[in-house]
Amino acid sequence: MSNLPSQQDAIAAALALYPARPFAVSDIGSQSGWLKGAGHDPRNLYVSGPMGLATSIALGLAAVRPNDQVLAIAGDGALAMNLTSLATIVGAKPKNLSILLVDNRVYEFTA
Amino acid sequence: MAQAATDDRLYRSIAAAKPKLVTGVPDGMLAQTIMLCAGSPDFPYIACAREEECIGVASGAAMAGERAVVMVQNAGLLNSLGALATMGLRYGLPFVVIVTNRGALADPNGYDIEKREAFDAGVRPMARVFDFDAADFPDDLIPAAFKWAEAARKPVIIALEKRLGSGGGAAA
Repeated sequence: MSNLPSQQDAIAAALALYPARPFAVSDIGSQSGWLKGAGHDPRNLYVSGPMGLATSIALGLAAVRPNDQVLAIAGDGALAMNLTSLATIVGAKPKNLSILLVDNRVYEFTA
Repeated sequence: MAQAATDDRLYRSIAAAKPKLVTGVPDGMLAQTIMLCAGSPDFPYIACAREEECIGVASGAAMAGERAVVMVQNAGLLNSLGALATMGLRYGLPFVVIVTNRGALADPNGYDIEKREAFDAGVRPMARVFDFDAADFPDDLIPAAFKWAEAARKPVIIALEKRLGSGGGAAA
């Protein structure tokens, strides 16, 4: 039995760190389900695109909304499919973008 | 860093469209334009490691209702068709993708030929492509491309190629 929080609880806890609801961009699959479970909000974007693209989409959103906070939510499998986005984000230096990496230690469902 | 020419028609056309963001992966034909975009005071240029990231970045900007330009080579867009389909086309995001369509008659590198053929076979059936000479296109090309994309509610692809008898350069 794991002592780790559930994905939904981890996402809810991350969202609660912000004084105001951030834009939340979640990768396709379980992250989107858990984000919705943590609290549906018009500022949530449940990505239907290629696995791993949430960090890139969040970067674009952060770049054009510099006065808003953006949280990208990626699973370990999804982020592994777009690891290069981390180098891109480091180069772009957005001050309003954070990434929540949800490592549930399994390669879970995508549908 | 090499000095970019200040008179770059493609850069001026991009700037005239007043994008909120430009993103891309380098191609030799776009070098001057990329350097000018990277130094623009009017919009950020996000240098991506892979072309699929560019489609994601542009999608994020477009979902916020802002204009975004992507600059990639034809091979790079081929690597990104899943993202173009499941983000740009699915959500009807009106961003502009400038593609250097390598492998033309005036651009016959052996390693580019199949890229061009795959571009024709894979991209044209799924998205609207407008073709232009890289050295001779209208000044209002990119503003017009945005007008089309916003009316069509979908991404638009501007394919630039080197043509025989033309300047053959990138966008100068």
